[in-house]
Amino acid sequence: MSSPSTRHGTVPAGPADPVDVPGTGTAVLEIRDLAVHYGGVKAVDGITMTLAEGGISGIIGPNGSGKSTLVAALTRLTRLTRGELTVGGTRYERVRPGRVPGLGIARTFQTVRLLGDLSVAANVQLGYDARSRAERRAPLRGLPGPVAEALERTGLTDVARARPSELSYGTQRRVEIARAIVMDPRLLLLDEPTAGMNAAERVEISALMRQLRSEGLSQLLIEHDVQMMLDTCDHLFAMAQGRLLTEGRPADVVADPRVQEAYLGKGWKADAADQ
Amino acid sequence: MSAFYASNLVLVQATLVAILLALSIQVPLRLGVFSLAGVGSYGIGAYVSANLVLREEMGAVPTMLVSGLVAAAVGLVLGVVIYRLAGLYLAMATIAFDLTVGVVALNGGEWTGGPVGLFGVFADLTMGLLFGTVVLVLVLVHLTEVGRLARRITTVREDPELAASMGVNVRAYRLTAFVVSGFLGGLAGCLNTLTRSAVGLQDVSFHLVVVALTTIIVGGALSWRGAVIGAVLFTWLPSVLEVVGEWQEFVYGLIVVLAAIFLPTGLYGLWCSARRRVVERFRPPVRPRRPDEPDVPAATVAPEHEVAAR
Repeated sequence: MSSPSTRHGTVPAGPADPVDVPGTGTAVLEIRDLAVHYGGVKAVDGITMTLAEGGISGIIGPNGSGKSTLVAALTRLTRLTRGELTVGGTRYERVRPGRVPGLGIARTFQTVRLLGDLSVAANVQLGYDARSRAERRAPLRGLPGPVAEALERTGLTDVARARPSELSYGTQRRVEIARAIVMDPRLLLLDEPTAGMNAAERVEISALMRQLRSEGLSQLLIEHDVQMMLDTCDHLFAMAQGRLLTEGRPADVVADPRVQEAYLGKGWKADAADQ
Repeated sequence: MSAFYASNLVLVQATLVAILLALSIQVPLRLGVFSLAGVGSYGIGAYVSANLVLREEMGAVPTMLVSGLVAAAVGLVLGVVIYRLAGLYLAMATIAFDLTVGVVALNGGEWTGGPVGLFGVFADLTMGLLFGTVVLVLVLVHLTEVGRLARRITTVREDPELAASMGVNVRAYRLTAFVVSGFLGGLAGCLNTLTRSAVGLQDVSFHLVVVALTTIIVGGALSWRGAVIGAVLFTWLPSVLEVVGEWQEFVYGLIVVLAAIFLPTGLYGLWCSARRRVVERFRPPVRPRRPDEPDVPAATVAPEHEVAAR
């Protein structure tokens, strides 16, 4: 496969096997001693992570372990208590939230956040609007090419003119993913992207993520579906009570006794973990 | 037609001024900023313009610009001070600002004329200039209701956190709302003074808050068309209601109450809903592609794809 070109430069083609080759080896995002405290509640407390460029990293952990707070901190939507954030070599822990997309970070939310008054296409176009003026090409008629492409890739072309309220929950989540993809990010943060989807839709989203990885897009995935994390991620982090429990190859992480005790339950096994 | 126009010239002028006043409340509302400061700006514009004409003998156009800019500057300062407020608290703070302007007008000495006001404010304002100004403002507001800017404004109003994630500087948008509201309010106040050649405490009264708010609630809060509909309705309604004599106030109030209950999106919203129902009736049923279905070619999507229901 040829190396696709994005606004962040030409990136090497990603791995074919999600487990064997975790990204390109260089870091797309570095998190150093990140903490988010709300009064006495330490939602995130001293997290240090490095996400590999071109790979899919995942975070698992029980509810309240700080996963979504971490994503909010990475997108500057919550105030940091301390810590350093570096994306593509640029420190950004002090920038305002509106500048984060310009650094190449896009996200989806844990709950569907679409604008009900806008059509599916217009919701996706919000992501395209976030691109700089030089990167936008608005045709006189119809949708910009990247918007139509994002709709097509997520199987939404047929419902482009519908309103979100006319769609199933799973389809609405796909609109969110399309909106994030069309921003042409260097790092995509997906906060439980398959919540509310049926099995077939989950398989489709997982395949889409792997396809995006093959095009060089780095991704950070938060999910409770551990089997999907095993099937999709190159590298896995496990969190509990705002702290990092462990990290490593997905199969190794889910086999870790600390992870099983804090999240999965003792004796938890998965098909992939057995391999 | 010309006889009708000549006999109703005052109402025509009042309608044009009412459109600008309604827009000064509507523009921040479209950004999710529940600010009623446009009425205070209206008072500032009214008194500033009177002083500019009476003391500096300034012409209509520079008077309009200076009045609008002064009110916009005050709006910016107000916005910076109360930026963190939202919802009813913000509305209360801006009403307090409106009342403060009224107190200043009452105690402003020779600058405001106190309870008597200022009279004899004659400038070279023509109907063409008045009409052209309002049309220009409407065109500019219309440009914020289409395309990329409209989508971003909608996002700031509906979900500020999402807007930030889409690269929108939410703070800048909201502060701009205060500035634009101030300019439009100041311009409306100025034009009111120049058309009536007088300014008094009635131009900074709480009654104006009620009038401006009901104008956009009944007309429609999310488009300039709603402001125009509401301004025409409430400027001309009192003269129409003369036939009911002393029941005029009652009928006026009844219309406002009924509109608030049965037309939550205003008259323009009612039109948009009806149009949308017709479009959806003739549109094929929505069915997303299933994962196991073959890929379908990208369809050409008509420009109407982004039309929002208002």
